[in-house]
Amino acid sequence: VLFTEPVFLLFFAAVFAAAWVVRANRRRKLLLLAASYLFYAGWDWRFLSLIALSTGIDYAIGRGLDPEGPGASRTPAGHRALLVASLGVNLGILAVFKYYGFFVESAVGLLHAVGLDAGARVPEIVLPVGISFYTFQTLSYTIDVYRGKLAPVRSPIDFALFVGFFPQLVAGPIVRAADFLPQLEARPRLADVAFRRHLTLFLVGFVKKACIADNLAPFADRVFAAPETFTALAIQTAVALYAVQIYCDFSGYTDMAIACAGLLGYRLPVNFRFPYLAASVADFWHRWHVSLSTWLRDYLYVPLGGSRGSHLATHRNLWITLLLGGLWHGAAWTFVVWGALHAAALSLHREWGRWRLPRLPGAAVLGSALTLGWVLLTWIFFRAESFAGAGVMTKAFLSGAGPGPRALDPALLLLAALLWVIHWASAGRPVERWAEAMPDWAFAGAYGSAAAVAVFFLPLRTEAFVYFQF
Amino acid sequence: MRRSVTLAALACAAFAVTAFGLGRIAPHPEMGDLDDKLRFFETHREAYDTLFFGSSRVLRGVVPEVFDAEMARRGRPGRSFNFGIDGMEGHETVALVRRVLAKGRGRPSLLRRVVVELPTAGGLGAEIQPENRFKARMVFWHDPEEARAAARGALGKGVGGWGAAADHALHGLAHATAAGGGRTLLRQVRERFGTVPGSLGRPLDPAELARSGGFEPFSQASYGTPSTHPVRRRFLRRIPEYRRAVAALAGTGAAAGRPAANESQGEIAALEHLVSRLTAAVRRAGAEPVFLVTPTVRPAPELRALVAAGGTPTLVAFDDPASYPELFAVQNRFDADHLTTDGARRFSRLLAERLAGSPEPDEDHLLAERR
Repeated sequence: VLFTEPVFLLFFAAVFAAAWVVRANRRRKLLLLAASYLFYAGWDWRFLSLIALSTGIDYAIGRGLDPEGPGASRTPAGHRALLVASLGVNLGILAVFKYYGFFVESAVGLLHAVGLDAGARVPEIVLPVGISFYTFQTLSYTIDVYRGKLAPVRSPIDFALFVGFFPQLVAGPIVRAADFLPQLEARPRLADVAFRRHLTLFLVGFVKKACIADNLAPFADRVFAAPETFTALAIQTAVALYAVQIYCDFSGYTDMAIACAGLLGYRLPVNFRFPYLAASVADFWHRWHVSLSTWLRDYLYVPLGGSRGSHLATHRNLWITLLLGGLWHGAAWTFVVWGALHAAALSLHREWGRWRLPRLPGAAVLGSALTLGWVLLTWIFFRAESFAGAGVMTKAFLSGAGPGPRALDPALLLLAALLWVIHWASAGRPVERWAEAMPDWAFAGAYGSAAAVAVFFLPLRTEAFVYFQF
Repeated sequence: MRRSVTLAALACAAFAVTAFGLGRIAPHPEMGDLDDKLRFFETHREAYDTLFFGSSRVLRGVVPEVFDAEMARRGRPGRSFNFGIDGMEGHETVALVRRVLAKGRGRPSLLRRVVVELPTAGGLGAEIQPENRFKARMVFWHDPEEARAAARGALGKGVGGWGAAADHALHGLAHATAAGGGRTLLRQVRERFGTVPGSLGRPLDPAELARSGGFEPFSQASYGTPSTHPVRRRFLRRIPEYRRAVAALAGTGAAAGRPAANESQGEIAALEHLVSRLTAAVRRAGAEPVFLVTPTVRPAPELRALVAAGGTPTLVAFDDPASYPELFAVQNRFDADHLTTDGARRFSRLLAERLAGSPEPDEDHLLAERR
């Protein structure tokens, strides 16, 4: 069930009403936990067991790390063993369900390259929805408790809700236990909920995800599926559209998640800060999927040594972090290359900063343009179905010489440009400000009308009914 | 609390008014081939006296050019258009017939007969398959009348139940709120500035539609080797099985009018209701409905039972292999349900032969209906 589906709206309306009717905090949390598991079961009930396993193990390990807990480990070695157990189980589950096929395929390919035929069949394992997100959440909890930065949670309900809270369960943002668990201590007050802000944010997210991203997807899909048949302009248009699509898709979904949580009285972290307005690649990573980039910084880059070691070690740490960050997005080498391209740009940016060159006039504009161009280029590898396809697209994107005769409607390039201008103009969050400033009756009327316009622009699938697919 | 309820009501009212207004501008979402046919017919509605509606069995089985030539040869000159669409069944057929023949659009003055593939009862009122939910065509056919009929059918004995009824209601809501109409509007705007390159799907060329009359054969590539179309491949693998099914049908079950075994009472009731509404819609447009059973090895005895009970006006059935052996010959079949292009040409000739042999719809009666 997606947030944009009518079934979710009905589900959320029911959960919202029930959550505010229930007075006792503990019952409210139980209700939200049940709703979260029901929501997840809508995807595939079998994978509830994975969430339950991950939750149970990290809760128990957290209790084991609690100096006041029953059966707690008292020695540093014992603590370390518990941490290793948590890392092993969580990363093990992730490795099996997300990366096993990738590892086998890569190994077979490598053996084939050196003339050995492994004859291994690549297993088809269903990827449980949201596994990358909740695994990182539970890991951050255990690591924070181990580091002594966070007191272990006593209530299993609180911990289970932290892991499985449905607004952020399947697509983030990645929530830190230190931010979320304290919010569960007392029942939120209805009077404290910023209804107007969250309703507006939900609609903005809905428009970004359903009306923009989902409508643009077919055009980019067509070109990425067979780039060798398209003109250079079509390829450049498709890359520009894809950049808009992925941003609107991801950030729109996050907006809706934050809004849903907000309407239930809980705060989730900001995940996107108008990333295409970044002045540099480093700035881009402060604006794009912020909850992931900060997670990688705090739990990977810094433990590796961060920028505290030698100059070379800093670059190494940067590259390891970005390569693994790329792999986190998907089990394919194209994602690793995407991470590598960003790592290269960040390394270059770091070196550039060290030279302390005088700032030239127009440098900021040039920096933004270069960053945007580089980010667009890297999206090719992020979305490409193969390296061959990515190569064709990169060449056409940079040279302007297209490999094929098929064109896309040139108006789509104008559309991409228009959407970029809207992105730029939205940086001051004018919609939210207008919504805040309106009288109640005007807000209600405008909201109803805007929702109708959003529904009007929903993309409905045009392919034949499945029962004709024999 | 009261204030909140008032504001929520105001938001709902604004939503309804805006959705209604938008629905006036762009009445339905983009639907690929069906859109192209609807658009074509809008500008050619005075050219045709016979319309065919149905699933892929009609789309790929009735060749208007052949049908018209045979009718002319038998002293009934006219022009027909094939409104068949892949996967179109039951409620969608009724919704499309009603829309095409809607009074507000001006009745096609030459229209004399509407040939509709008789829907089967199976699946009527059932839950919408998850893969088909909120597809453009699914939302399109859930206009208020059809959504109500489908929801009512779902609540019949032994059918989908409340879940299915709610599903239909949700789709009805999507229809009522003009969901997906935005793309149609954008297309209309673009058309004002010229052609629309790069639109989704492969738009049917109006000139080609005028030539083909809406008939669409399976592409030649589908026939070739068994490695082409998966359905064709399966059919070629199971020819002995197909022959056994044909032999079992010949002169026996299909025409016997025995009651349905598999369909629930609820489905039969839903079918009766659907057929009576189809009949009424066609007659309101001043034409005469003709129900068609295509040559298929899937007998639908409940339809015969319906006809025997006087539930349909005219029925032309081609599902008896003993009467129409050439339509069931392997060389004329694409698969167990569909005909090859040669098979379709034969079928179209036979169909014309049957219709030319039946009395012409009464002119005075049609004129009276039109008035």
